[in-house]
Amino acid sequence: MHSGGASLAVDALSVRYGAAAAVRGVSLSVSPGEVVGLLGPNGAGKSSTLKGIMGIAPVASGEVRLGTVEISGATVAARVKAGLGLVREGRGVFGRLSVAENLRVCARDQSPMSIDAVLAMLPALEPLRSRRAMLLSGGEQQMLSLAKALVSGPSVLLIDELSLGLAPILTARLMATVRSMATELGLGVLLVEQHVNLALGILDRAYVLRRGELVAEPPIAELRADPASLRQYYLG
Amino acid sequence: MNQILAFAILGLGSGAIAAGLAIGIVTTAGSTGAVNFGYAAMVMWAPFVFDELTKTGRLVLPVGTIDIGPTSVMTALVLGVAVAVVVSLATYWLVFRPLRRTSVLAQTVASIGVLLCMQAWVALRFGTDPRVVGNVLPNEPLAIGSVVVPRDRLFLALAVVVLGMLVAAYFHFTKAGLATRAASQDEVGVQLAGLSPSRLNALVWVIAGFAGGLILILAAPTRSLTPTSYTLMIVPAMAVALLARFRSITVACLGGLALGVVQSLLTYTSTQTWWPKWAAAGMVDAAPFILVVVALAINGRHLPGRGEGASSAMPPVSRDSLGGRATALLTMMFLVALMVSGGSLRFAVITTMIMAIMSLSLVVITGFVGQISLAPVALAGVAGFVLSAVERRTALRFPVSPIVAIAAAAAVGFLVSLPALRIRGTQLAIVTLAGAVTAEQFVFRNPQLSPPAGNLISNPRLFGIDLGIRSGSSLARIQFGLLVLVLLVASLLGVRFLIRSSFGATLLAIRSDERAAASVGIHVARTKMAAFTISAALAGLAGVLIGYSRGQLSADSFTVFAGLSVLTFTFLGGITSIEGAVFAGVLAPLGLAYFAASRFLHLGENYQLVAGLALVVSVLANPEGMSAQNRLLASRIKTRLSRGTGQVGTSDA
Ligand SMILES: Nc1ncnc2c1ncn2[C@@H]1O[C@H](COP(=O)(O)OP(=O)(O)OP(=O)(O)O)[C@@H](O)[C@H]1O
Ligand SMILES: [Mg+2]
Repeated sequence: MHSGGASLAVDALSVRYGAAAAVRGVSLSVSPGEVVGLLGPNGAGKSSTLKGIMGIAPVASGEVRLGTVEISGATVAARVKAGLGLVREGRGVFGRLSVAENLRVCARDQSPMSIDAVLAMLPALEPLRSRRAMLLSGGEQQMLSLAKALVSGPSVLLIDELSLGLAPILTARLMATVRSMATELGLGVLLVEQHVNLALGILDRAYVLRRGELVAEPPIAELRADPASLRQYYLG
Repeated sequence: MNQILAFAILGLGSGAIAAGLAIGIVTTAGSTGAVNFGYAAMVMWAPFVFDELTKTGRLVLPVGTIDIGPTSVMTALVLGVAVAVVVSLATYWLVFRPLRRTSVLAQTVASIGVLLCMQAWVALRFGTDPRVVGNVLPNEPLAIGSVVVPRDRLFLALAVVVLGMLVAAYFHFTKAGLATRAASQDEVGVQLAGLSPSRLNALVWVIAGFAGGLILILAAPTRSLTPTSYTLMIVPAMAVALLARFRSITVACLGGLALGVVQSLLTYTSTQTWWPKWAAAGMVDAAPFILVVVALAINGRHLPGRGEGASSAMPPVSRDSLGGRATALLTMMFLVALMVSGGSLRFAVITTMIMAIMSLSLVVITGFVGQISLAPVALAGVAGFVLSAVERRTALRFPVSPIVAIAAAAAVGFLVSLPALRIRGTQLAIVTLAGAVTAEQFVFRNPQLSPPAGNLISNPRLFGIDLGIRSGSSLARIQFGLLVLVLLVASLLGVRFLIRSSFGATLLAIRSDERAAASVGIHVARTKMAAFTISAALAGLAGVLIGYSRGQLSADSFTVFAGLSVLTFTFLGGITSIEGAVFAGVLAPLGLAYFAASRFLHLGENYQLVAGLALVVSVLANPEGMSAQNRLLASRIKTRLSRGTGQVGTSDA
């Protein structure tokens, strides 16, 4: 992906909506080729953390670095150009545009991933190229959403709820795709996932977020052995 | 047959203008939440710059003039279009981009501010004398059988079709165009694609400035060029854009041309002997209104913006504004003002009070119900003309004749409320704008409907007392002033009672969320109809008083621009509060502030420019309207007065 595959470093990030702090002092990192989970109960601040990193939620304080570049104050577009990508919660597609047009809007000349290459990874989209995005099924929209982020050529990809509303089989297939992109292309992934057992298979590491604060970095092996043990972190 | 064909071809001229402007409106529609009523006024810089340059060699810019000597038509064309592009871009960057997250009301009002500003500004730079603009397109006569038509109409139609195809291609085949369409629905999504929505939108405003400027220069030879007439070309264009659902370039293009052809054919048929004489004038101006109604009937359900009320971010309504003590104070101030003033100053005091009633009509319908209406002045005109007709044809006199007139206005208001039940936001503004144009051209200015001697109105008389404004040498009698004051106070108290009643609570419930209101059993349709009718009755009252204050009714009191300026001043005064209407009266043309401005600052001529600028700046500074600030001012005046120092200035009202 982005040449060299930069790593993401977040330092003491806080996100505030008016008086309410949704994220407090979160520090985390994602290295090239790594798939890192960001887990936590509903309302913990997972989405807010990703949005804060991306610059689309109000950041009160903290630093975000991509490789050696400090991007905390940058515009959203500048962060994208620096190599950050976000797959939003829900289906982030342009409904009135076709699949091909959606990808065309998001594709960037500097991206090492061409539209064709991305469609090769998500072959289900290939025959739908000229269909309007609003007419796609939920799963197809989710794939398109992922494809849109990929064609912009990120070196670190933030993914919010890839499994939302999808059949487990499809989720597993998308997870496998994400894993192989990380391994083969050196893409760093920060993955927010409700269905932890579906994600555990591809995670290298995980952070647990509760009420806006990072409370644990449980060893993945332990979670795989006993997924229920995660609950103790949620409840605190 | 040949004649019909010839008229159809002639109609392609105004058709090209409507189509070109509609294409421009559709182009920028996605970049703001509301449509831009000032668009035609904005791009008419192009034909004016072009004309001045070809005739005098002077490049007259919005600010400054460069003498560049004899200029080729092509150079003048390029420079004219360039000025329109720059004005368009600047308007986006300075006005609409900062307002992009504000309410539809704020954006609509700002666009009306742009309209007033641009119209006055162009008039200031180029004068208001009609200009005959030279041809760019080939214009040799073309014979169709025995009839000869100018050839440029066909080239114009061709030009607008090519322009439409280019713009459509931009939106469908370029990455920037696709992203612009995407951004109108999902701005964040476009940012996440690494693009800047602001820059994409700036680009479409450049395209709109280019398209509108170019078409207006090419089409200018087909009709005489004045700031007013070109500003109002927004009306047919808006009707066509509505038909195109603010989205389809194809419909905008073909619909515009078709409208022009239909208008021209109407002109032709209205010269036929079988055509009713009373419908001979103004038919052309009624066509866009009919188109608006048809467009809403066809696709009212699918229009964007439905469901997201104009009130999405409207300022809160103060239900206990202007209490008993404040009203008493206000009454005292007006009373003193009437007594100490005389002549033209007293006339300004009276006008202030009448316009306060007019604004009150808008406070009810826009402030309380959240419907953006440009109708009040037209409704006032209806009342005025009915009053004159009743007095001319029957023996009815004051107070019966004005009551009949007000009832007529209320009835028309009720009729307006019927389409308004289905639409909201900008759409009602478009309907009422087109309706106001129709009323002005078809009714108020229709020579068949007005006697040659003018629409005289006799002085009001009650129990043998003459309440008229004039008698002998006295031009602003206090008797009339007192009559107006009584009616103003009654209106203020009536509206206050209204908003504090359970009916008022119902109105506010509808304003904040129509569906929620309906779900708790509020009869939305009936309530809205009642509000429209009440608002229309207030406008009718104002219209009747305008009639009495002039002694004779003229269409000039009820023009479309008067309607726009009432919305302007009411917004400036504070559209969600009762006292806002009083502030609006002070600011209104011929009111006290106007009197002061023209007397002491010699602003008379530029009042509209200043008012337009003030409007835009005030929306930018405070998109929720000025009511909060004005309420503060009101309470300050109140406390100062109640301290007993009692400095009641006449312009302090
Ligand atoms: N735009 C907003 N304005 C105000 N508060 C917000 C906003 N977005 C989120 N919040 C609040 O911030 C907190 C964190 O929300 P966030 O969406 O980040 O949680 P989450 O961990 O993603 O939850 P979920 O698993 O349900 O998606 C919540 O309490 C939420 O109510
Ligand atoms: Mg979330």
